Amino acid sequence: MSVDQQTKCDVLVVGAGHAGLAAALAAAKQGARVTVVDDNPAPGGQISRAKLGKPERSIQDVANQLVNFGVEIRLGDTVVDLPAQGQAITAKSCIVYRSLILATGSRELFLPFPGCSLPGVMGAGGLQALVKSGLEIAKKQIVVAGSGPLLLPVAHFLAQCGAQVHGPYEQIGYKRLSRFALTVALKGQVGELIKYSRTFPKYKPKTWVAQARGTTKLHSVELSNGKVIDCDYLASSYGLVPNNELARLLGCELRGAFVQVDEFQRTSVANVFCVGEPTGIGGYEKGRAEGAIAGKVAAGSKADLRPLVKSVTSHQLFATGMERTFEIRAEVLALAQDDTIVCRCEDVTYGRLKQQPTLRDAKLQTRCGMGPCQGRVCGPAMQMCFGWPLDTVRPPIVPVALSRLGACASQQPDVTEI
Amino acid sequence: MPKLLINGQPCEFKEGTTVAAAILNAGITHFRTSAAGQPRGPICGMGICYECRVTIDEVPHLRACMFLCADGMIVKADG
Repeated sequence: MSVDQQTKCDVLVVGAGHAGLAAALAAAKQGARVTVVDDNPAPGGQISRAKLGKPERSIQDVANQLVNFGVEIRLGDTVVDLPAQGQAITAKSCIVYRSLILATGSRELFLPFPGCSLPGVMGAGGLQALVKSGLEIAKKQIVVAGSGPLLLPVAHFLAQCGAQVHGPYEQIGYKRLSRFALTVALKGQVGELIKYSRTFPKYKPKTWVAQARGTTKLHSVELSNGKVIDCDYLASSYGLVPNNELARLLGCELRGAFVQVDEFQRTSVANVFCVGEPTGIGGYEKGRAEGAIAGKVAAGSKADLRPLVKSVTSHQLFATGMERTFEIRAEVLALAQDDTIVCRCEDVTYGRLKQQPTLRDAKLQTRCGMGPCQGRVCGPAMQMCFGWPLDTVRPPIVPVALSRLGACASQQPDVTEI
Repeated sequence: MPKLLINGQPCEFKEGTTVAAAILNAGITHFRTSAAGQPRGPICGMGICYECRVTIDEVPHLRACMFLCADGMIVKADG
């Protein structure tokens, strides 16, 4: 068993997106020793993902401030287990902490439809992330489809990068789509609407992808209205789901898939806070406000929190409205055929899953959700299609080398020492 | 410009490009082969889905979207 260099800190922040960085900064300003861990190569999370490794200016500014405060931002590392209170095992190290702030963000909801596992079919945010990571898409034919507020900025972004964009095709109807535009405007984000004024008229409501066609890779997409579009990529997702695995591993109380927190962002588990998308999908401003609260409280101060709490409440309301607006229609949930792949890691089809009475039976009989992604892709899809509740989370929460298991066993946290 | 080898082909890349983006730029969409033998490529672009697994410098099963290209790197995808 390898003995790792142990890091000791007052506050461990998991995630270097907007919420995590705000939390780290707030805690550091109170004089706390802070460590941030994120599995990406650069800070910024998904919404402000670095372009070719260079973080957005606002992100870089915060990162610089953090470095000046002596905060360590550990990139390219992942928390794989939280074996005891105050102890974290990452893919590369052992960390002992007093307070933990979970800022683990969200991922896209992928629903199964015929052809969804063909190379070239991606998430909307997924394709955007790849473009920011150097993928060239000039003159490529791209269909943007699915549901949720993400489709508009993604379609806009892809067009700006020189792609020939079809859509966005949005499964909700005109009425709901107008409500979305109105909500954005009422939130004072008229600037956003103006920014997207060229893309917005291209919205095709009440339309979705019926199937992706191709043999070894995507060559065309058939829409619900029968129209067929030849394309290089399909950027498709149905909204966002929270990365709640660490919170569930710790036994934090949930409300649906979301982590339950009080006005100080405290979870039901002592010294564990949660901020950003895992407490409710509401965007980076909500995440930043929640992060600022949690960082401060985790570092021992509850002063001047009122304006931040007020901001969180208003963003929460906006989030709830969005969730209702972009409700997934039954026709979309019924697209998968018997041979459609639902669990990509273990190649489990819809036909095999639909015979199973519960998720536990499905796992035992088919191995669905038991591959490398640990059900992160198929879990939410099965929940939507079959109504199966979330299953338990077991460590390690991501695949790691065998030597990592128990790697920190000889390093019991000594809280008095911190 | 720095270069990496993808399935034996030298490919130039811009600094900060991930291996996943470089593979797609090289015209390869088949990253890994699934349990049932189907070709697969990245979907999430952010390290969640494990569909973009390839071999980098002889280490198998690495997520291509989570690694930045480096000069002289040797990448093997299934396609």
